[in-house]
Amino acid sequence: MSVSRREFLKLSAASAAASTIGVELLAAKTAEASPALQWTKSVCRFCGVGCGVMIGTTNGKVTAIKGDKLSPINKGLLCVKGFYLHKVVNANNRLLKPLVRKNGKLEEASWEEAMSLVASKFKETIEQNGKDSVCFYGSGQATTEETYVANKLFKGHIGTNNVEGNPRLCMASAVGGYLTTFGADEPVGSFDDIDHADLFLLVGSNTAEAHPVVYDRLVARKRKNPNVKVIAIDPRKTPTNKIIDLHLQVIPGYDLSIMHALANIVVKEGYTDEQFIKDSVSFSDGKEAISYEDYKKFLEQFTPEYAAEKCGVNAEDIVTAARWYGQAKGVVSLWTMGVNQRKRGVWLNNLMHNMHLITGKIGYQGADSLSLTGQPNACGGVREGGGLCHLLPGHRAVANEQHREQIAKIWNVPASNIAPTPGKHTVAMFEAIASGEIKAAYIMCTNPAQSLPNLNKYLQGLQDCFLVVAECFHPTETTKMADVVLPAAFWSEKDGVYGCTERRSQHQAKVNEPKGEARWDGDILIDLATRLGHGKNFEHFQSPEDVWNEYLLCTKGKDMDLTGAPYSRLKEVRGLRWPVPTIDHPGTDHRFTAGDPLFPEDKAAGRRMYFYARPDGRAVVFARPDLGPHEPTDDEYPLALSTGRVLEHWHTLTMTGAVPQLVRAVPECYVEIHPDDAARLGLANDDVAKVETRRGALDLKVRVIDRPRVGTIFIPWHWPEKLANVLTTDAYDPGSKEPEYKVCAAKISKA
Amino acid sequence: MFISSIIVKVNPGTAKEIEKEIKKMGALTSYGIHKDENIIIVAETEKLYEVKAICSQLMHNYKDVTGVFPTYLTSDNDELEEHMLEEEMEAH
Amino acid sequence: MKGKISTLLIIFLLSVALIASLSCSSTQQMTSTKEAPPAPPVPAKHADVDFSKSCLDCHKTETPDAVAEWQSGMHGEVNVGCFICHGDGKEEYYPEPKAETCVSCHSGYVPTYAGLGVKDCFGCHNYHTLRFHAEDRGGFGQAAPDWIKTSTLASNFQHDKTGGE
Repeated sequence: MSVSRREFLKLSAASAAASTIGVELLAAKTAEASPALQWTKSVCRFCGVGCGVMIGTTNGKVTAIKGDKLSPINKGLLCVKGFYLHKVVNANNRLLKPLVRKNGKLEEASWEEAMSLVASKFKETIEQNGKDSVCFYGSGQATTEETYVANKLFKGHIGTNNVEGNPRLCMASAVGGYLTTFGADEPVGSFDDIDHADLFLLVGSNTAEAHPVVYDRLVARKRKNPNVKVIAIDPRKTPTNKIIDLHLQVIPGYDLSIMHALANIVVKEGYTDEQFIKDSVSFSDGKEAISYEDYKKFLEQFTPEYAAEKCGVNAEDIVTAARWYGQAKGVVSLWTMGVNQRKRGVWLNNLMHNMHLITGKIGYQGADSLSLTGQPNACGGVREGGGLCHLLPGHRAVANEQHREQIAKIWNVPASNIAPTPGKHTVAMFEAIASGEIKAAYIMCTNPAQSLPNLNKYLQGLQDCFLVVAECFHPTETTKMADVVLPAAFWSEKDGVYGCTERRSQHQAKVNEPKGEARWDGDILIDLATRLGHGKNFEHFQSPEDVWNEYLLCTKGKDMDLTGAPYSRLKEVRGLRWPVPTIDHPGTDHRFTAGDPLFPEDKAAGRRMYFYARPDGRAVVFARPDLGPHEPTDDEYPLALSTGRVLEHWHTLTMTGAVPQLVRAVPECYVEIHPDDAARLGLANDDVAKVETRRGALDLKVRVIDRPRVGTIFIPWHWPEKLANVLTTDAYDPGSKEPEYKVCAAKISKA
Repeated sequence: MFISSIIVKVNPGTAKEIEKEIKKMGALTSYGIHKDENIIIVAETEKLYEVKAICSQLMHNYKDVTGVFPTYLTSDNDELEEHMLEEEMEAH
Repeated sequence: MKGKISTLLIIFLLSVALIASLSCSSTQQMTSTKEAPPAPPVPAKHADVDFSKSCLDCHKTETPDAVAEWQSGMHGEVNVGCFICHGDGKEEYYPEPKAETCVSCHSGYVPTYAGLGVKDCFGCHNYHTLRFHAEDRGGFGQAAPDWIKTSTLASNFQHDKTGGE
């Protein structure tokens, strides 16, 4: 091609301009004939913070990503995982064709062959062994629409409540906490409170690594206001310690005593909000109502010295923490798995709320009891969408006859189709798979063969049952065991809605066609429904938007009303925080108080907060014992083992493992041990050590580092090559059924 | 003939509309919208003062234009210096 | 001729600067912050090392100053690791980080530096500390330089409005 001198000079001029703003014009110029880089608003695929992203596409291919500067959550920022998200779309571990196991090996097959096999196996199993011999196991990463379709098929049409999802393993205790304390799931406030708080209480949360953008907001808040303080209760020093002013580095599993001790000091030293307690709080010992006086008496045993002794920290530090809490104008508590993945996770969640209630530090700007979530749609799809064995869509329960009737009507089935008793919760479900009671399982968008606790107990069962896995990636530990693997469309390849930590529902945009023969998960489930003879009630679902519209009917008039959030609006705005009952409602930043569209002014009668989800409008402060972990350390297994995460990786590495830069950042699994313990046991950096628990053993590289507390060890659980969950315990919280991943007894020796 | 490049910075979401308007103005070639809110244009003018006029026009006639940044100037013959001097002298 | 053009370019820029509403005083102040960042003395290709280790494992001892600078800055504070700007060293490697990379995370900052007399982010910000050059030299404290505050260009300089902190 000949370029005239004039053209050349023009291009030079334009290039000079382009370089000023950091654009390479040559690329743009050549793309001029074809469409240039297009940016589409979407939401991040990783954690539950819900960062807004802009997806860049060129010729229908995802080529770039950047933070959405109009997002109120991240204001354009991304963490290191989100930064590489566009690379995951085109990753080489994407599954492109259905796979069917033939002669023991997974082989490529047509959709027709795969789906007819799945349908006939499910039909046969249900006919021979009953409805409850099949199950569905979903994900806090699936879109709300996908979980809704699965729920409708399994609970409403097949008629089994064996519908679970991985949020059981991470969020169930938070659900239990919110439900028992406030009468309704999910936080009172929002992320906005972070920008106004004077004190942060972080319990069992490595915010810097697990929720980097929230951490960035904490840093920003602290920078602007040097008086802002951060208290942490955590057995491990983490990168979050850079902003921590007071760290109670506890022995894992005993922090209920500290929470009670904090309350005790707050009460003793007069930091309570007596008016708020009088107006909006009731007390309970977990079985029956007690009086405020009873509660005070109960607290007396929890002296700072008692808690300090149990948790191995300084009593003075507990007193200081309580005073800071009492003196702060606004406190935001943040917690994650360290509180939820516990034998007493619900109780500990309650204790987080207790502090806010007795000090009245809730329901206004800068004060909230905010449970951080780990998956992008655990709140939206599974908690709100009812994707657990005891729930129905729209914060409803299967055990409630009215709820069953309401949902059956929307699903166009007789109410008797929906079983009145909860199905099997996650651990029970996989136990039933292991025992052969459940014979066919459909797993969508998750990887339980790596993420279940006490893995060795469950793997054989997964091998033996008829296992269908719908997944974007292959191989995963779970697809390796499957009889049929169905290629699913990934994030940017489908429309959907994600609901994040702060009750905000956001539209996830489809910007490119699914890779290979992959299909949208909802579409695969509708196909299965049709093959099982239930097509009539699914055929009107032509798109995710159709599913969303039906789901909105389930939310109408509920505490999580999303009627004002149809696709047309969600595509325009940066998400909406429910309740958002009408199309012109801006969404709600604080529930149960003025400004909440559901706040009953008449019933509240002048009270600042009225918890309308509770019959008496009062939130409950719980006085329950400070039980310790399921498996305390002993002479044989003297170390407490915690598992957790690193910044650069996410869950089971199916996504971050496909990005070389992130792999490079933290290439392999290791075990962290305190220098004192290492010296005592003769372990040095980069030694290989054998970590053993009562359930399994693992050889790991040693990292001697002053991060874990003396007497504890820590393993990041991301790597399939080193399945940390062969070590963890599947003992679970009796209320939430969430396993205690965070504490078990272990020993370590040079391998 | 003078060839100059100009970055026109506009309010988010308005770039396409403004680019359309710019394309209607003779003597201007758009080199696309970049990073949402920057239009890179190249102007070809007989007189140097016309560049100034174009910048001024862009700055004042569109409320969504937030900045006009000339970045580069050249000439397709050797008359650049002479012309500039001439014009400078005319101006005084 | 080439020499002429560059001279003329400057004249031209000054002559049209009025249109961009640059006051004379702010132009002068700008030049004082225009100094280019020191070029890092690094090879074009990353040394062939044990890539199973993380960047910091070696660089803590190999380039302690760079690591200390990084740690003292915002990126260190929020754990944005070496690989984000420099690549993993193997698949991709940018000894000098590209400014385009910045805007993926800081999209609010995009071209707000156009017209500030700098080429990219690093015209104002040091690579590793991310503080202003003058600030790192003790020129001014935490506060932004005055020319940012007083310049009529400030309306185009929107870090705080859209880019977070």
